[in-house]
Amino acid sequence: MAEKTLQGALTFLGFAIAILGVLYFSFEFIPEVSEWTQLAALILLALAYAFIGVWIKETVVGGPFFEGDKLHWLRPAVVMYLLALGTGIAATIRFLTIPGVDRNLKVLVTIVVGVGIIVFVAMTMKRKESKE
Amino acid sequence: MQPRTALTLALVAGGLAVGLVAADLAWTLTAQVDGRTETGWQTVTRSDDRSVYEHGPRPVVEECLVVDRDARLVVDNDKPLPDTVEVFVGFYNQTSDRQERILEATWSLSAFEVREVVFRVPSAAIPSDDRADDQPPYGKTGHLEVRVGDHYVTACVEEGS
Repeated sequence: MAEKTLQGALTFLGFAIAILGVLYFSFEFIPEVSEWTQLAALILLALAYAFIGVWIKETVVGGPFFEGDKLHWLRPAVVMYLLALGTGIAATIRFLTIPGVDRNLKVLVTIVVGVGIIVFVAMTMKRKESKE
Repeated sequence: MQPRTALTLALVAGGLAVGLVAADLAWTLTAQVDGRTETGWQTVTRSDDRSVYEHGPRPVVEECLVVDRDARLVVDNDKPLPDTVEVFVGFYNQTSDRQERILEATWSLSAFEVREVVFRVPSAAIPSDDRADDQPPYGKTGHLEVRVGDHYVTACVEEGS
């Protein structure tokens, strides 16, 4: 149990460090690279985190930190997914703050991409379920 | 998805992200080294025959136009900007042999806001017709100086402006 708690604490520390790094890159690194590079890098980072989550889920270190129903969901893979979520949100904010892009286009793109992700995931899951 | 595939994809995505940022940083550094950022005075002729002069390092300001009382400052999106930028506008009388500043105003803006700034030169800065023949500091001709961070743009405002 103590080992699990230590793993949980270290995982949370890793999560905090990584998300702070993403936020620093998103909002403090502006003068160094162009906004479009930042946006592309954030999207790629979000994908990388999500894929690490998929990979870690299948490994022995991917089990839940705590026994019981309430915190059973809290496992390393979920932490990676949350990291991907945070990075995705940072990418969206970065996109919305890019100067020179028409506001209407920003609204359209964010709505289409947002709804597109939801629909894509729902359809993928349905296909998986019907296969099973 | 197989764990090995997911790991490969994660490494590819992460590598691409790092590579992209590194390439962008390298491009910026190379641009500074090979002189793509211009220095020295520059004259840009505008359609209304007024000239815009710039001096100093020019990695930031792309264009500054003063048309009547509307001054438009366009900042190059690809160039680095400090987090906070101070836009300084000073109006100098130059009808006498000495320059005299008759107005100055400063705005503190975030880097986002300064990408394209359109501001109205306060009427107090523009010599009016009935004061046109007055002695300094109310001459007909002056120039407007705009400073963004360490970068200066001076736009000439000529008679009647």
